[in-house]
Parts: sequence; C-alpha cells; structure tokens
Amino acid sequence: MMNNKEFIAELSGKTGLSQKETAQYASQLVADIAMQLEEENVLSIAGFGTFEVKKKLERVVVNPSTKQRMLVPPKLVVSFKPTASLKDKANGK
Amino acid sequence: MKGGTDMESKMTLQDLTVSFASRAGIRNNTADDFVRNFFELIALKVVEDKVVKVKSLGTFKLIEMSDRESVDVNTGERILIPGHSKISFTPDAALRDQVNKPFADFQTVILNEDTRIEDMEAFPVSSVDLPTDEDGDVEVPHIVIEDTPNVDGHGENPALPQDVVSSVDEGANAGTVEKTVGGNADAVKENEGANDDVAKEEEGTKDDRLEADIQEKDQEAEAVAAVQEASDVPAPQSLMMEAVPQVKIIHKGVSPWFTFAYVLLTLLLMAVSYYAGYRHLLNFDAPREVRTVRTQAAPKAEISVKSVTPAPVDSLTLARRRAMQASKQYPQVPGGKYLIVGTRRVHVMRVGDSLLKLALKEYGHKDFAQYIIVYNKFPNPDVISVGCEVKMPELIENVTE
Repeated sequence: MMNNKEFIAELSGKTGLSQKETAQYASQLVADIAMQLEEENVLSIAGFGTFEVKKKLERVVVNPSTKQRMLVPPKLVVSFKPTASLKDKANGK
Repeated sequence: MKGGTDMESKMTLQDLTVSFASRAGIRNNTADDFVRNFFELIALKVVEDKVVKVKSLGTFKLIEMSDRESVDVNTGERILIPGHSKISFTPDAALRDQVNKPFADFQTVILNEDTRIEDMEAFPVSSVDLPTDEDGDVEVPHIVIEDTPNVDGHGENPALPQDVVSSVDEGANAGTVEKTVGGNADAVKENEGANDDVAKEEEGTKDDRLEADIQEKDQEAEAVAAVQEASDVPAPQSLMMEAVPQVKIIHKGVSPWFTFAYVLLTLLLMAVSYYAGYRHLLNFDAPREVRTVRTQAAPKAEISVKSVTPAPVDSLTLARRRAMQASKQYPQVPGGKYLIVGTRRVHVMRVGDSLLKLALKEYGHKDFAQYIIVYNKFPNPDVISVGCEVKMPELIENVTE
C-alpha cells in the first residue's frame, strides 16, 4: 500500500526535485492526463499501459434483495489496460 | 455531441510530455524525465506494494487471480486458467466525473413494475444489457447503492435518452423502450407530416395509440436497428443522433406506401376473418346449440343426437326429420325448445337426489327438469319416492319449419 504522500516522496527522490515541486508537477501531469481523457483521447504510455475512455451503454439492473429494477444511464468510464511488459512484471517474470 | 472512434486520437508518452512541459512551464527533457519516472514508479510500486494511490488520478491495484476453469472457445474443451496477477485501475472520483461530464445529468431511475423488459429487445440499441447477474459486473452493486438517493430527480438533459428518464418518472404505462422506439417512430412520422400524433405522444397519455403506432412501425424499427448495428457505434447517444437522419433516408420513398399497404392488408384480413366467422355462425347454428345438451347416446336411442352432431347438413336434417317423427309418440313439453325422442337411460332415485340435480347433471341445466317431469308423467313432481325409476329423456332441438 502506497499512498500519494509516499509516492510523491519517492518520486522526488528519483527525479531530484523538491517534494513541493514534485507534488506540483504531479498534479499538473495528472490534470493534463485528465484533460486528454476528457477529450476522449487514447493515452498510451510505453512500458506502462493505455488509458482509454469507454462508453458504457445504459442498462437495466436488478437489486437482488428488493427485485427493484433500475435503468442505469449510459456513462463514460476511464479504463486502463496495462502493457504486456507490465503484466509480466506483475506476474514476476 | 462527441461520439465514435473518429473523434478520438492516440496520445503517446511523448505527446503527453510535450503537452505537460508547455503547461507546467518546464523544459522538455525535464518534463520527459519526470513523466517517465512518474509512470515507472507507479509500475514498480504497484508490483511491490500491491496498491498505489495517486492523488486525483486514481488507484492502481495488483489483484491476485486464483486458478479457475474455463472452456476453450474454439474446441469446447475445459481448460485450467492458472492463477495470475492483474493490474486494475480505479479512477479517482474527480477524474471519473470529469470524464463522464457529458452524461453527468443522467441518473439511475427506478423502473415501474409494468415496464416491459421484453420490449428492450426491440430497442434499436440491441446490445443493451438486459438485467444481468451473469454479467458479473463489479459495478452493479456499486451503482445501486450510490445512485439510489438521486433516483427521484428529474434530469434536464438535452440529449435524446432524456426521454427515457422522463417517461419512466412520469410513471406512464408505456415502457421506457416503447417511448424510445416511439421516438424513432416520431422521427419517421415527422416525415409524413403527422404532427398531431407526435404531440400526443409527447404528452405521454396515449399509450394504446403509441403501442399501435409501434406495431405499425415495428418493421421500420427493425430497419432502424439494422442500420444502427451496421453503423457499429458503441454509444447510445451517438446511435440516436446518427440514426435519425439515416432513417429519413431509408424511409423517404418507401414509408407512405408501405404503411398504406400494411393497413390495407390488415383490413382485408379482418374482413375475411369476420366473414368466415359470421358464415360459420349462420350455417352451423343448429348443431352448436344441440351440443349444449349432453349427448351420451343411450344404446336404446338409435336416433340419438350423437349421431346428429358431427354429421353434415343433409344427413342432419334427415336424422332430425326421423327424430321429429319419433317424438310424436312421446309426451312433449308444450312450447319447449327441445323434443323428447326417446329414453336416454333410467335413473333410480336415491336419498338426496332431486329432479333439478338430475337435470343439471344430465343436461347441464336444472331447467331440463321439466322434460323429465313431462316424460315420466309425474303427477306430483315435488314428491318422488326413493327407489322410483326415472326415465331420462333423449332430447333434440325442436326446430319449427
């Protein structure tokens, strides 16, 4: 488990920037990513993975306990697909 | 509205770096270094620490999948998928909302009891997920819990699917899909200039009307579905937006004639079936009525109704004539609808029996008791002793010619 604080600290150590700068850049980068995704661009990061916005159609769901049926509206969701190399790393190869 | 793959463009790490550098006001190689380290660290730590949270981006998680059995799609063989690790990404709420902004006004709505799901299949967007538990979608419970408080709100969305939202809210009997399909039918109708129908449907009051319209437009709706499937656009809103003009093109020449022919055919069919039914009533009126009398032909009565019932018309009249002849030797109920033509069987009265009950059991109605009384010449039909033999008359319908 690594939270944002630890992440920034570690990143600052790697890049040699101050933690404050790192946090600032990181939020800038994240905002940039968010902006790209908002425009429905596919964001493919070599060696990491692909961020993509996918459309989910509206659908009917049933609450199993009450049998209440509901119409869930269509939505846009962010999906992430890791690259093969990252998958391999995850599986300890 | 944005939709379709044509609007999307592919951004690479380099593109992102350049964009980031200019926005953050730093040199390209610094930005490049930073972005690379950023993602490398996430990749490294998600493997090491299982979970990495990045502020306002989201959470990356390493999920252990245990072994599971599956079926080879091609061969149908059972195969074992070995356990492995998966990397999942859950976007931060802020990012999720930002991306979903175009659809942000949509809310989950509770469907009425009488909303018919079967109609969903006729829904142009045929790939709509029907209520699925097999879907196994992790989102399902999540949505149910989270969106329920919002359910009552009316959406103010300009896009077409809002029809869906409002129609359900109004609690109209018309199913969601009927409404939506009706929407397409509207589009077609507008071509024909039948605007009053459209107005009525917008009021959401003419459900029957709507259904009738849908039936008429059913095939057109199928055509719509076909067109939309062909267009292969995943999102409903873009389907809707694109479908309408396409429908117009398709039905511009065909629709009025098609509708006309359809209505004509329906009327013709109705006329034919009505005529057939009426004729049937006229010709076979008599035997039908006879059939209401139970026709358990007694061995004694050769001139039984049974032989009459399924027989063709001329033999029927023949048998009838003979029966009428036979009826003269029996006492008859004056003005009765049926003639007594013989003895069907003999009943020995037991404790608890009554002529009314016998009539009901034998002929299906207690009023037939009078035939029994007349046939047996009971002086006092109210008093009939136990053990008395009661002859059950064979009856045919009395037709005065």
